[in-house]
Amino acid sequence: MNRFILYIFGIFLLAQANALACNFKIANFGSPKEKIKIEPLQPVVMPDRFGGESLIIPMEDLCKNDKSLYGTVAIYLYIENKLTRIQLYRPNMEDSKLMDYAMGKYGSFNLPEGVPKTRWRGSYIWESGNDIIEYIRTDIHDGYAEIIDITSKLYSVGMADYNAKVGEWLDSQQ
Amino acid sequence: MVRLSAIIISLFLIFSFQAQAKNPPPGTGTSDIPANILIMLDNSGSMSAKLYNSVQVYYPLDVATDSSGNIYVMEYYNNRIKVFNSSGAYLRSFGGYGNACYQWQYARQFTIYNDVVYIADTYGRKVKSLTLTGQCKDVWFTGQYLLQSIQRTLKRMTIQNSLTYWKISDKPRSA
Repeated sequence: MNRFILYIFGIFLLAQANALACNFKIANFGSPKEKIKIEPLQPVVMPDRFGGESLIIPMEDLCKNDKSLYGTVAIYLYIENKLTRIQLYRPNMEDSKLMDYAMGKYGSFNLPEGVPKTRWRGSYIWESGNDIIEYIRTDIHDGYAEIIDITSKLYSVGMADYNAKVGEWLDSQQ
Repeated sequence: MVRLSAIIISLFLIFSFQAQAKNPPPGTGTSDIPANILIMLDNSGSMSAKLYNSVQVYYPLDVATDSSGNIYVMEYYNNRIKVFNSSGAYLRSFGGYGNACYQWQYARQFTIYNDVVYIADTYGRKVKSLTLTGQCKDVWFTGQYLLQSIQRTLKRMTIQNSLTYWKISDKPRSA
């Protein structure tokens, strides 16, 4: 009987944790940006020269019950007003919270022996259904950033065209 | 009555000045910044210039200049300000995510007045003043998201100093 009560209690705790967990996937791939409604602050919207438009929403607005990812922004990239990429971006924080989050949600991967998480630079890719998830830890100008990129195989053509345009422009800036 | 007259005269002077003001032709004009440059921007890209040292600016939301003509660019989600000289050469950056006086949380606007940087810390719900190198000067609590223009916020702070806002060094009198 005691064991039964323990099981029930455990399931209750798990359900609570899931309810409080951060859900940044607030729109489906392919949906228009009008589907995203955030209160009380309107997201910052930034069009770019490659035909994309990014909605930038801090985790402070997305995950009010879960402060573990505060300091991270979710960037929703729309190409032809279709959600094509979700990116979590965490710059210049002395931790590896996005790596821990990605490993917890999509599966762990091995790091080189003896290298602390915060000093490692590299990337790892998972697949989950139609989604391709890439974790990246990289240096940026005057700092470093953790990034989780989520794209859909269903919208990979638009994403590839967009990336090609960005690449061409970056090459022209050298 | 005397105060009302003073306000009316001030308004008259302001409107008279504005009525006489004309837009300077391209390439000429004066600046209210005692510096050797005048920045004129349009959206044609004809006056664009690349930054030196391959320094890129990520998602810039606001820009200001100091009295020496240095250019300050606020990167939104990096929570920092990058500083370039008037030729576009990178000088330094400051800021960061956090609650410390010299940090902020997703500020959308800042201004420079008398060579003091004023930042509307949107999610921190504060106004922060920093030196031109990013050192802390003062913090004012606002108790609300800062969305209106930082210039309007500063004006309100001047008018309602101890009512709506209070300095971190002062005892709060009201929220």
